[in-house]
Amino acid sequence: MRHHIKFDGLRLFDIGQSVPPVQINHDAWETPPELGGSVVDFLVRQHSRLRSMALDFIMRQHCLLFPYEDGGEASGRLEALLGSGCPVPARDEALEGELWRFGDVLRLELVLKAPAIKLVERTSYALTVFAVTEMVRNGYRRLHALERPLTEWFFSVFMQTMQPTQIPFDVLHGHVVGCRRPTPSESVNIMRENGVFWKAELQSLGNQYLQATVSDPKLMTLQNAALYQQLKRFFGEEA
Amino acid sequence: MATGDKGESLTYEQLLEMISAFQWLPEEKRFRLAREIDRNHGTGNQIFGCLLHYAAAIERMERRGTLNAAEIQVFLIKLAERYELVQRVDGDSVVMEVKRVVQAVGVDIVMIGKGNAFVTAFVLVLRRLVPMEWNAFCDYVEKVNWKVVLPHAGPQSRAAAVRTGETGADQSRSTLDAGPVTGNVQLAVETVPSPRVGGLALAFENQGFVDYADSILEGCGSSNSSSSEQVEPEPEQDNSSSGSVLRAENDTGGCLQKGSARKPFLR
Repeated sequence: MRHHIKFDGLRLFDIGQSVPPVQINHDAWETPPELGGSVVDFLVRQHSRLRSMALDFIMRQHCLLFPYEDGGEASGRLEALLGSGCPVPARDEALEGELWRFGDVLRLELVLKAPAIKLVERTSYALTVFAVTEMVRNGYRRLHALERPLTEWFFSVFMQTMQPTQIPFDVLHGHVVGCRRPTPSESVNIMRENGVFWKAELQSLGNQYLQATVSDPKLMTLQNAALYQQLKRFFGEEA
Repeated sequence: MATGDKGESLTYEQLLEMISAFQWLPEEKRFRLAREIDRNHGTGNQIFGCLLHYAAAIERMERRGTLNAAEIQVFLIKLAERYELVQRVDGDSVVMEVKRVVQAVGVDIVMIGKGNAFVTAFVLVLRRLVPMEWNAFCDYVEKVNWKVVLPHAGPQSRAAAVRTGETGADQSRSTLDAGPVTGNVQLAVETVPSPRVGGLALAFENQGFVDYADSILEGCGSSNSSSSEQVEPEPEQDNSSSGSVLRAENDTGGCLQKGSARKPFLR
């Protein structure tokens, strides 16, 4: 193996941690070569420039996925999302102290109160990279937190949890009131009629069944693969 | 925030803005705000003139490594001779305010800049003690967002009256003249400390301080000079032959005669 790369799942859970130091073209952005005062003084004077850099970086990354959102309108929306008008209330008391949850997420307070600032070299270039990276990280944190409710909605759409029932009333009523169970072929037809839902549902139930009955992890993996093949065959997806 | 009461509270951003504004610029021998408004003298505003002297002194103390409450106290005594509003400030309150500033900003004092922190702290003390003059200063330097929100003119009239030496009756009239007297007025008036309550006014009642001051100021009673509002930034004096009052203490413990010809505000 040429490179040994370790992934720490818990660190990646905080999306901010996944942002590497931002590469900055100091000549293009006209970073001053000297601080011209204290660290705080430098950051205060450069704040609007640092802010522009952070917004520019986030916009460029966003446009890789949504190239049509590259105009001023999208930039305005991004700024609004990162601004004081879109706070993210903490669900847990322990998280209430996270400064990026409220106010302008690109404000200097978050940069100055980042623990790692103590380790940054006190040069204009190093401080610029640190400040912009910290702003981008906090921006990612805010955006991820904001997209969570939509993600939950997307998941519920995918899992069709908003449907009142996945079974025709005719069949459900016949079973509940008339105590009549559909035949196997009728059941297959009902499931194939709504294959997306029933495939996921059956796989989930199959996994639960395997977890309850198989203790050997290797055998579990084999059984899972077999279950998936069986599902594909059942829904007629086999090549 | 760094300041306590409702009307006095500053946002984090405003505090950072102040720290940057009072960044000392060694090549220009003035702080950044003075450069921004392009003024090098304090004739137009008491606090501004006072700050020009104070910031220069802090820079000297920092350069010599003598930046502490006692040194600031001694300097403030001299500064108070020229600027009456400084009488109510003492070195300890400045140092306490420095701690609050550092705590509020949440970074090491070195990152704020030691000089910046001490000047900002002094500014915040003045802001609390003389809000009316402070607001005039804010107008003068075009920093309206730094202003103290005053409940109404009552306490200010009182503070102004106290400073201009009005009698107690006159002071009461000033307050009353500003508007109807309410419980709120009384409360606000009580928050304006009397000039005799503390600070430099009482400093010489402390024997420890008197001894310390004597050791520094010995033989300097004659260091008067003609006053001028124009602040001449002191020339760089790294050789000890022409040091200021504070430097004299540092170097020789007694030769303050040098200061007499050079420090127009040290009368």
